[in-house]
Amino acid sequence: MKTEQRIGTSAMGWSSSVTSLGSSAQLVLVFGVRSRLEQPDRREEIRAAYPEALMLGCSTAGEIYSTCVMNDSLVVTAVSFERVTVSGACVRINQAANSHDAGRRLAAALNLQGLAHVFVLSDGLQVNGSELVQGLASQLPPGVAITGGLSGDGSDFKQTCVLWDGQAEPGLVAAVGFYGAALKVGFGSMGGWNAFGPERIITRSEGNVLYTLDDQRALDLYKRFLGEHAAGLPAMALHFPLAVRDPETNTAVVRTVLAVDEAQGSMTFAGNVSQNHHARLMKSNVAGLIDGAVGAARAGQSLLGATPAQLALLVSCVGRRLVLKQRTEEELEGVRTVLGPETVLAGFYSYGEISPLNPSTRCELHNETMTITLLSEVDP
Amino acid sequence: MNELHTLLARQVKRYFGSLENLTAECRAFVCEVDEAYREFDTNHGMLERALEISSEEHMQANAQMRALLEAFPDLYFHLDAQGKILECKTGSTAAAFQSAQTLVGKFIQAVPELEVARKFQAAIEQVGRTRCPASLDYWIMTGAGEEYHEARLVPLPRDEIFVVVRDITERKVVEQRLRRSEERLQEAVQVSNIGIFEHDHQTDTIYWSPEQRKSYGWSRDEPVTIEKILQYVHPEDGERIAEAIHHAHDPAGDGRYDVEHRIVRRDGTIRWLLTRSQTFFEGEGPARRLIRTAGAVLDITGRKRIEEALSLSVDRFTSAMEAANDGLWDFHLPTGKSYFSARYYGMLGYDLESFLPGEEAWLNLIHPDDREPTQRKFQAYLQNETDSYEAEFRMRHKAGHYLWILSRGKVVRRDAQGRSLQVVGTHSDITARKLAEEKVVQARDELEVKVQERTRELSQVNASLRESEERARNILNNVQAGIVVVDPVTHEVLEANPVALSLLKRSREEVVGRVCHNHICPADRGQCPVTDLGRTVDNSERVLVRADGTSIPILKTVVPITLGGRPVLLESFVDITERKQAQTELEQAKLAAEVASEAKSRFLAMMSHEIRTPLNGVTGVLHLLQKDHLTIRQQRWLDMASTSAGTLLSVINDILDFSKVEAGKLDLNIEPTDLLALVTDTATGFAERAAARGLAWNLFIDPRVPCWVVTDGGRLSQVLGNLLGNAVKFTDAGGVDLRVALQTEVNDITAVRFEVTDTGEGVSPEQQGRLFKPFSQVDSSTTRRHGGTGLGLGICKHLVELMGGVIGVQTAVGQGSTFWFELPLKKANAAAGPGAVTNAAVTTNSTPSASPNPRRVLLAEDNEINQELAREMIQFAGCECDCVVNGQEAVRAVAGKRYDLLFMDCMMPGMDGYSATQAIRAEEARQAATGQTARRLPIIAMTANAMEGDREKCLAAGMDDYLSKPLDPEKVVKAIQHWLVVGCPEALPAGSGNETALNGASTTTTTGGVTA
Repeated sequence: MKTEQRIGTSAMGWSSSVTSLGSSAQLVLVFGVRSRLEQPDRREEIRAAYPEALMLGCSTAGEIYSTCVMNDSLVVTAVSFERVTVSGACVRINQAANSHDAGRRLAAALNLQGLAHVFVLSDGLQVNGSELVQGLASQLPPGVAITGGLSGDGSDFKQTCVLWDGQAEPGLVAAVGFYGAALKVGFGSMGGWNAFGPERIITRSEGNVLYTLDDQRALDLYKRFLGEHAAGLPAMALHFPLAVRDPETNTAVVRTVLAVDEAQGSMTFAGNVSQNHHARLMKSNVAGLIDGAVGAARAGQSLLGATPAQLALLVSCVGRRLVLKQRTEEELEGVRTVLGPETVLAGFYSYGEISPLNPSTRCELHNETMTITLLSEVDP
Repeated sequence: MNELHTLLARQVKRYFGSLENLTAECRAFVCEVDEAYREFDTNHGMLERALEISSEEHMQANAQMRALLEAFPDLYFHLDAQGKILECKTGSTAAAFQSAQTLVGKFIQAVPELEVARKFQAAIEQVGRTRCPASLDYWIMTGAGEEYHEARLVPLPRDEIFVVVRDITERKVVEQRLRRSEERLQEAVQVSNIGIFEHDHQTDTIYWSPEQRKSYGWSRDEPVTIEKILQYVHPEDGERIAEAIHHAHDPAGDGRYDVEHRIVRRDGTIRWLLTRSQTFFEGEGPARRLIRTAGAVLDITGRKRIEEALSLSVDRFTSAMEAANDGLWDFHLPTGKSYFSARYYGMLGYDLESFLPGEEAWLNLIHPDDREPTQRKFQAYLQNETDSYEAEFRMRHKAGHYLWILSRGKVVRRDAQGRSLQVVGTHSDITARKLAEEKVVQARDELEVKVQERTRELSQVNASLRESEERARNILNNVQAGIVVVDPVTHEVLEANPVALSLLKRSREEVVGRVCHNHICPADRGQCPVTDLGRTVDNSERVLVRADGTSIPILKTVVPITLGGRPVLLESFVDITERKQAQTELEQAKLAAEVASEAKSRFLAMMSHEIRTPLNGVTGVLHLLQKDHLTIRQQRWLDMASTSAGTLLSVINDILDFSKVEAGKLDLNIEPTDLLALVTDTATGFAERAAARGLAWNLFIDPRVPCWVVTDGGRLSQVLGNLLGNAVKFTDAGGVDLRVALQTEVNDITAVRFEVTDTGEGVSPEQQGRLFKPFSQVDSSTTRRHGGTGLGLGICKHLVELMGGVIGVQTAVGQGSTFWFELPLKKANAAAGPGAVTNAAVTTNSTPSASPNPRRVLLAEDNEINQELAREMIQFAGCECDCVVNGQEAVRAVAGKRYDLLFMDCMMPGMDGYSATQAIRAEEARQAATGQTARRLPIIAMTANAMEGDREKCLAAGMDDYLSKPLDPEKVVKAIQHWLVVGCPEALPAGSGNETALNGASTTTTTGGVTA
């Protein structure tokens, strides 16, 4: 596997005008600020540099370029495999309610023969990520994992876009499938948050809207625990996600609060919160989150065993950035420490992460995690 | 920079005096530390608050639980895993245990009663094992007496167990009482042999008691449904039961049901049941509804059998008496009471009112001469002096005359002493027998006198008989028909007249005395129609075999007569050779005429094909030319040529139509039609022609005219077009009006009048008579001026009459003309119209455009010109086109390549279009049957055969649509669009084969692409 990375900013243009991979590149991942991604000229420049490559990417809430977090840039990562092949598919979605179906359609568009792994990038606001992942997973052969994330829009939450081939538009879901026995994949997803306070039962919810916990209005309860921090809602909510545990499988996901409704006393999350699941408030600190990122990298590396990761695709939650603030890059440094200096890091800050928690659980949509996909091409 | 955290600020002050004394890097570092302090504080605060809230909630929950425990009268234990009581709360049931103070620290299994203790031990073990709640109940003696307790055990964390003990004695007692009363009822029901049922109409559940099931022969588990119950009902009782149920379920009725009926059980046995039930309702007025029906069923089969047997024996006796036509009497001697049957007094002319019963009355009606001996006989029998009673006597009829009666009687009851108590007997009317007996005596006397008279007469008759025989022979010899007399038994000819002999060409000796069917109507022995087969031979055509071996046809009649006291057959016949010959000639002539007519039809069809094929070439080329850039002059010539070709086509169509009219083969294709669209579509072309001729044009449509009607739209349009064409053609100045008006409307039948008025020359009265006759134009000069076949109006008249309408004209020379026709039209539902879906089916690209993936069309056509034209049209529709010139090549091409559509000429050298289509369909069916993915290729017939029935022939061969030549480019494009968009069912289910194909075909029309 050969990779090369370029970064483009409005101030400086492209970091390098020469590309070495050129038409040998099979895959180009582009993560960038929406305004630049939407410029046709930029996309044509990338296409001209890698005429043969499958090109996909998305808008972000921060681009990851090695251990740096960039804003207002385009980070291009080109990959040339020797024995691994890739193919992609893209579907359009017009209503969040159709997300499950979109996932199924995406799977139908993918070539499933010999499929080893799927990396998916979705619109971050018009899609119900939980349903999308379930729809997609339902149609894939067993043992094929899905990783990826929902595109971001800085901290504006206005509009996101997905880049597919030559177009960059809202409402798209794009996926790249990797094929071939030469590919080794590792993945890990971890938050580093810790739950506190009593566990409560979700007594009423619809999709991603939570109404009551233990028959009490969810928002009132949430505010009671937040105390003086409640004044900072809804922005403050990013610091206090909810751990939602399925009592049947005993697996938990982290859910970020997207919005609160004072009148109804309800809270809207960035993923489904199912009725009868158990919920617990979470908090964290810098140390906890950085430990989480390191843990995700370790989990991914453990799946690769002794094989060093050649490319790491990092999808980290925008909520983490808000907590970590100026120390955000420390979580990337933590990942680098685990993976070593040779691994190329690329990725973005997202509105949702997609990954199984570990190889034995199903793929889920996560919030507030660092989700890492490690790729390596090995000799047969 | 904000103020530092107080702790950090103090440290900074202590170590560095002021932050100002530090380098920029150190200050930044201190800020990070400050963040960490604050973060710690926040975290700490959150945890504290969470703890505080949790404790608060914990205490609240605890308090609530305690209050709850207090509020209930039950006894609670909190046990460890072994059953040791850690905590308890006394309740009313505690008396069974001991006081609370003494209980803590003891084991719950230590309850005084051993049985209860065991139950507790088992339950504690079960909860410990399963971690699921368990319960137990038991009777126990307490200070208050015997109590029934229920204990529930619920697992707590740390393997502890929570126990609730509740006193449910009262509930238990009520339950037991209820169960006992139910059992009693059950017993009562079982003893009484009555079935009980209940039908809950709301849940539609039915309960049947075991007795009820027994009547039906059903087991305890047999599910009971209304359907099944009704299936058991005896067919003759079904209607009665349905009525009774209807009555019982009537919300306005009393809900009662009381029916005796039969059921037929599975083993075929019949049971009689008496069912009585009451149906209960709820609510009032319209909201009143069925709730429940409850009732009882009694098996009355036994009773019914007795009743039936009884009624049967009474019936049998009565009918026996009636059959014997005897009257019945019954005397009860001690009381003098008597019974007489209707026949008894009916015989005597009395009815029930007029007849006075009793022994007196009986004696009074007996003839005075017979009274005494009869009475004596009767008394003697009653005194046991005789063994039987039988007497013949006369009785007076009500009308006054006497009847002879035979009376027989028998004592049926006697008392202990042997005295007669009851006598029963019959009266038979033997008057006829008595009279006959008398007459026999009389006749014997008269006979002797008559014998003498007859002897005299006989000699006279003999003389006259001889005379009459001579007369008959004379007739026989001279009559102009062959006559033979035959013995019906031996079939020997007894007599044959000279005509018969001359027809047979035999001598009298050769015929008389021989078996008849040697010569006359030869038949096998034992097969003679008259004697052996019992037929009558009356004016039948038979055959006569002559001496020379030839046979001639004869018309023969056979009459059985008696000749000289013996039955014989009189056969008469005439020679019908000449008549037969004439008949044969006539049949041959008829056959020849039919052959000629058939040949004419074939010729017409062929001519049609032969003319249409080149005409297709001409119109097609003209159409193609129109797409080229032409000079105005060329364009005008081209228009002239197009018009001429169009005219030629309409002339051919007229001739064809007329030939169908002549042959009576014109059939209508009736279907829902958009009348208004039809009228406007038809009129548009003529409006343009009128405008081109400088004529005014008006179209009036009565708004009351229904839009959708059921009619043959094509034919209606043809008539309308013909009238409009004439009007435009024969009017040089002025204008043409078309009026469509509603005449009458009865239910959904409307009479619509169509009027075409022109300001032309008009028609004189003598010419008017010829207008609607074929081959007649107003005068021959018009033919020269305007062309045409002169068939148009004749066809119009026929079509209008075929559609049940009338056609006519109002005209005068110089006054213009109004041609009109009226049709009765049935209104149709717009949705039913095929056109309703038409517009949706024809997609938006009315101008064909090159689609990104051009569809591939195969064209099978042998005529080079037509191939070229059709290919142009197909390519114009944006499709790629391959051409083949016969059926074999078409089949091969389809097998080798995927086509989206196939245009198939029908008449091709070698394999024709029909056979090719059948071969393609057979291959598709084979593929479907073998499970391969088979698609049905749409095949459109393209043929110059425009005669009636050609379309059906194409569809029957498996084609999907039909276009007639000359090809109309628009129709070709429409058909391509239709079949490429709508297509055929993509995959045929295995084995469905031709069935689907024909269904698909039946929905298309010849216009191509206009149906969905």
